[in-house]
Amino acid sequence: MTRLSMLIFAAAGAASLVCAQENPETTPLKQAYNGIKNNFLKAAEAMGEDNYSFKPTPELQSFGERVAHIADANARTCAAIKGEKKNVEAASKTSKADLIAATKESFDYCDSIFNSLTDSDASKMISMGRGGSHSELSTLWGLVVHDNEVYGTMTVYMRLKGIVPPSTAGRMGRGRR
Amino acid sequence: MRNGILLALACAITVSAQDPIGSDTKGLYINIKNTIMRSAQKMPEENYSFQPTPEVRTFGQLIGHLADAQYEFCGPVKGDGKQMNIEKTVKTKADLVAALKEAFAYCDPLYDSLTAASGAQKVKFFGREMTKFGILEFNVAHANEHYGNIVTYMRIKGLVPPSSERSQ
Repeated sequence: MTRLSMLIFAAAGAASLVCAQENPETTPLKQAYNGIKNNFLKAAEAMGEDNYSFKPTPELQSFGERVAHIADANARTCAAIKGEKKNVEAASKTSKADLIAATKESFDYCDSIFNSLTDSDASKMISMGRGGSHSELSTLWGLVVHDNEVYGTMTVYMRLKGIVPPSTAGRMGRGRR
Repeated sequence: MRNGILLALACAITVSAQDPIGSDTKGLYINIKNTIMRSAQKMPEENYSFQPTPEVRTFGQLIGHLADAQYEFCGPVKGDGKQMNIEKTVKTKADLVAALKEAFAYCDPLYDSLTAASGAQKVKFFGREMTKFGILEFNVAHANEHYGNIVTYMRIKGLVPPSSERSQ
């Protein structure tokens, strides 16, 4: 948990500390988004191409399918907020290079929302189709929460393949994941 | 799990459309609280010592860590600074499930009463100022990350995680 708090603040950087005074509701969200985005992309890079088809049990998605799931989910959520149609079609891709490209594209697509987000946007209502309507702030927290859950599955896949997840790398021996 | 998150948000919005930020956050918290509690109860006692590799926490340690985290996040919001050491001191399934239940009960009133206005109040969190809303959302994100660990442990042990039970 202490490790988590370090990540929370490390993700922010000095610039956002100024913003934190101006946008107390949305600044923690931006920090959480940048934290999981960086960890997720590093995890996708760190896993070897040959392990993208790995799944710990037959019922689970492969590592590559986990990456694709987030690329598609992020694009879908951010498209709803922007009122646009956007599909990075990651589910149809299998190679590491293609999946990383799709994931970067989806995060890039979402970045513009997070970068321009202020507290005045927080309570704007967003229609998520069958998921009902939710505040923009809650919708974006839902994206971050979902990314964290899937990242949590990927860290176990990585450990099973002898790879240290990025959220633990650099502090070996002090934290476990 | 994605459907679970949407369902949690959908339920929350019907409870209180007047304060969507507070009710949506509560919905996300209740969703992850319930799935983690059900996971802890579903995993058999003999698998509480299971760890997929030697470097990672055992299942029991994950449950203990999540219980500790409720105090670490919610303590600053409450202002009582309560801290626990469940991960390192509690061992049996029965005791860990009880400790986890108590930990969530410690946080419950904060989510129950959360509004956009109360959540905007700032408190000290690990030496920095952060809104109560931000801390409580970080708790949900952190819990979801570890639920991702938990579902993978459960699948390796041949169990269906609670969030997938309806689709099996």
